[in-house]
Amino acid sequence: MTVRTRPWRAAIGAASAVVASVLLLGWATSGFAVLTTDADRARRVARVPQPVPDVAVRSLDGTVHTVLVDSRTSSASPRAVIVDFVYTRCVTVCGVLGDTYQQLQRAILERGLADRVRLLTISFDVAHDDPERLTRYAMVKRVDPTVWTLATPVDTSGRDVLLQTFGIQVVSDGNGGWVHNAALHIVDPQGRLVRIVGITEVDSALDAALDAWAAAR
Amino acid sequence: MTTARRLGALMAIVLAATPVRDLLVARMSLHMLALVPMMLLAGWLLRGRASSRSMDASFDPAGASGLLIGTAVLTTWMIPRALDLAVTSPSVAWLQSVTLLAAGALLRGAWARAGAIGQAFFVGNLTWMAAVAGLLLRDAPVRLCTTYLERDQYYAGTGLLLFATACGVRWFAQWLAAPTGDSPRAVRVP
Repeated sequence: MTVRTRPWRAAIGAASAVVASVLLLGWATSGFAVLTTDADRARRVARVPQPVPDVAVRSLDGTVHTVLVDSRTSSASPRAVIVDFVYTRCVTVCGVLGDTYQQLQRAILERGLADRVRLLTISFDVAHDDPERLTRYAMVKRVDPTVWTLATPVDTSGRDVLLQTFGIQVVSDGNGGWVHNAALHIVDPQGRLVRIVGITEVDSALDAALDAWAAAR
Repeated sequence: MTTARRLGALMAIVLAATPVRDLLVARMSLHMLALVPMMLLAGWLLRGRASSRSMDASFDPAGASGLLIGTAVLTTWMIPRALDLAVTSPSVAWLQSVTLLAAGALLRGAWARAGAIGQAFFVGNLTWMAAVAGLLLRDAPVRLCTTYLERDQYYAGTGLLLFATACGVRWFAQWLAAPTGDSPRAVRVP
């Protein structure tokens, strides 16, 4: 196939192709920084803190309050919160989260940090995880209520707002259960989501929470 | 309009704007190994027979620019974040359809003009990329897409690996079949 060559046209074509390719790949990777949705979310949150909406939740004792209310009112200064999302019937990633939270609880108590950092586990299984089931979960996990609170949103719309804010995608696993991306979410004492770290990174989660607490003072 | 172009148009509409799309994006393996290649093929068919006097021929005489765009578009739709967004965001779903159709159309002309070396470079790149992505997806200890299950990620990885192997074997066989001392001849695609 013979093509009459006009060099300047070929140069324009090549330049456009390079620009288009860089733009498209740059968009997909948020500026060549990430490959996954989770990494992108963590990066965005670290740059611009996200206010957590006042969603109504029901806790172990059946009382309804907004999601970030600190049940331990004796504490004068507000604490930073490490938030995770589970459903109590979960047999996969929630087990890892439970272990991580037990480690976090132990670390907080041993290092005397209970005035600075607390833990919050939110169940997204609104239909199933009532106070009774949460209580059973709390007993199995040996939850110390001064450090670790559990709650379920009172309705699905509140649940969806929370999942959206924290960037949790819940997918049906085809067997009546769900699969969801899991992480440790650090919320500062002003109620802003400021960091997201991996579910096994106990030390960095604690450090980030202490940083958030210190920054708010 | 030829039958092939009509088929391309039909494929594009069905894949972009009907429940068929929802069906295909429901699984990572179908998304990567059925939707993406079929949309590319739809663009290819829609383009019709490549002519040397066409616009893209004068702006891309050697075919390199078209192959570059084709590579970039196919790479983009292997990135987990882009796949997630193509499922969860309607505007990104359209971006996916449009870029794949455009890439398919540009590739048809570019492929013919690129010659054996350009084609070998393109296929070689694509093969390696699919193979590496396939291995990563099979071995990843965590889910890379928030919208897909781990099991499905494994299947998608296996599919990509098989695709890459098939591409490599086909290319190598063609090379062996070429007359001694010759580089492989440009593949003619109708």
